[in-house]
Amino acid sequence: MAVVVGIGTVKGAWFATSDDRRTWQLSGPHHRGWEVTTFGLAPGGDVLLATGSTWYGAAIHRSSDLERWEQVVAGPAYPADADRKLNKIWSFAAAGDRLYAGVAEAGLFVSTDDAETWEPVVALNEHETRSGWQPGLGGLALHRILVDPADPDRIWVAISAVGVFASEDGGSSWELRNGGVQIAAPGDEHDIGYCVHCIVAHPDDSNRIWRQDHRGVYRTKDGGVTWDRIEEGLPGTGFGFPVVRDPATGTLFVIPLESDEYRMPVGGALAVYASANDGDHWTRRSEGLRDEPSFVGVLRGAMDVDGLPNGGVYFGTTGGELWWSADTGESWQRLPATFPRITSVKVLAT
Amino acid sequence: MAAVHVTIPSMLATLVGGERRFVVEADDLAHVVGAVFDRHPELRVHLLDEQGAIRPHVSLFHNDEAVRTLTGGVVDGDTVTVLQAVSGGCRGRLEPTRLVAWEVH
Repeated sequence: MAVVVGIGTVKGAWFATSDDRRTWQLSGPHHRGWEVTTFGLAPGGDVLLATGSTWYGAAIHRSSDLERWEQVVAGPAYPADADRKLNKIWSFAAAGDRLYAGVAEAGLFVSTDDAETWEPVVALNEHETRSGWQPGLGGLALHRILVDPADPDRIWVAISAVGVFASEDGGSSWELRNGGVQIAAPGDEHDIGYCVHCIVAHPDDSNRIWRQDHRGVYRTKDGGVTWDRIEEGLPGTGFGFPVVRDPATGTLFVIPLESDEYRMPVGGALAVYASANDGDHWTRRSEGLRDEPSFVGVLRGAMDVDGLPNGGVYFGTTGGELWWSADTGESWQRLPATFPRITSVKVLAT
Repeated sequence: MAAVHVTIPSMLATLVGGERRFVVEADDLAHVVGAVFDRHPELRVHLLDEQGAIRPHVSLFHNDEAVRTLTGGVVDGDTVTVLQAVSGGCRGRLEPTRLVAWEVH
């Protein structure tokens, strides 16, 4: 089966398709002119694509063939009497027949009818700490959702700049899980202000989660109750956005940037760092990446893996380059195209 | 009921099968917008926010008058135009999706 990679940009989406991860077919732009913020898969199999617009708000679109798209009319929306607006859809996560969407202003929504209608997860959206939630540079966003495949009632979400929350009861109640993480934005009396950038879980043990945070790279082995810093071998301050884990080999990948002030590759050298031992140590894997100075960034949603043997890894830059590796990051190639600023890279089929 | 000519921006038209101009039957401005949503329910979220207000960066013109609230009557031949509040021009047609293939070695 072909690998299909969704490439979301500020000006539309493209899909790269390959049978061998050597030759790629590119289709697009789809939703030309719209910022495409993320992709997902509906329980029924349709590909989902989220658009956001300063002018026209956010919406979900679905397709069974990546050509004909239909907008979801009753998409996620805050109640009319809410004091906030939904301005961007950041991510999707499926759990059986449930599909979650994380949005900005930060909130979680759930659909139980194959993405046709959505309800707010009130216990989180109206959490007792809500009044103290503050945005990060990218806005007040619920941008990552993890669901335990073995127990879909166990859910973790990441909200910037608030922290990681977890639910053990299918979303009926939520607690903060940020023990040991350095706070980024001290605020009110609640233990919030953690600027989590991305989280990824072990597929067979959801208590093991890796976290790229504003303040560094961390991991937990107890579902987020306690976190330990894991930065041996990384350059810079530990700052970065994406963290992904190749399920085929267990290799972790991050892309370090030079501190929150500058947000550029350390030393002007675009580089991926990988860990084959759960984050105990990181090594540089940049063969094939640009030799010349590079000052692009890689956003939190712009990196993914395909899970195939010899793990395929993909990332897109704010400079519009799409890089991929078909050998677990040992070497990299660039798709011969320059896109608008890439906001999202998602493997949609393998 | 008056026949009102409605025009929407090309970006929104791409969501509704490319229909940029159409006619709706209505007797006031609120009904015009309601008739637009009956015809193309996809447009509601793009023109109005959750509180039902016209989005701040969406401009709505009734004939030559900019409106921010949906009050006032309409007569046969009136126009209602939706514009991006900050926008430029595009004279060309939207191009169809292109398919490109590369060999990478």
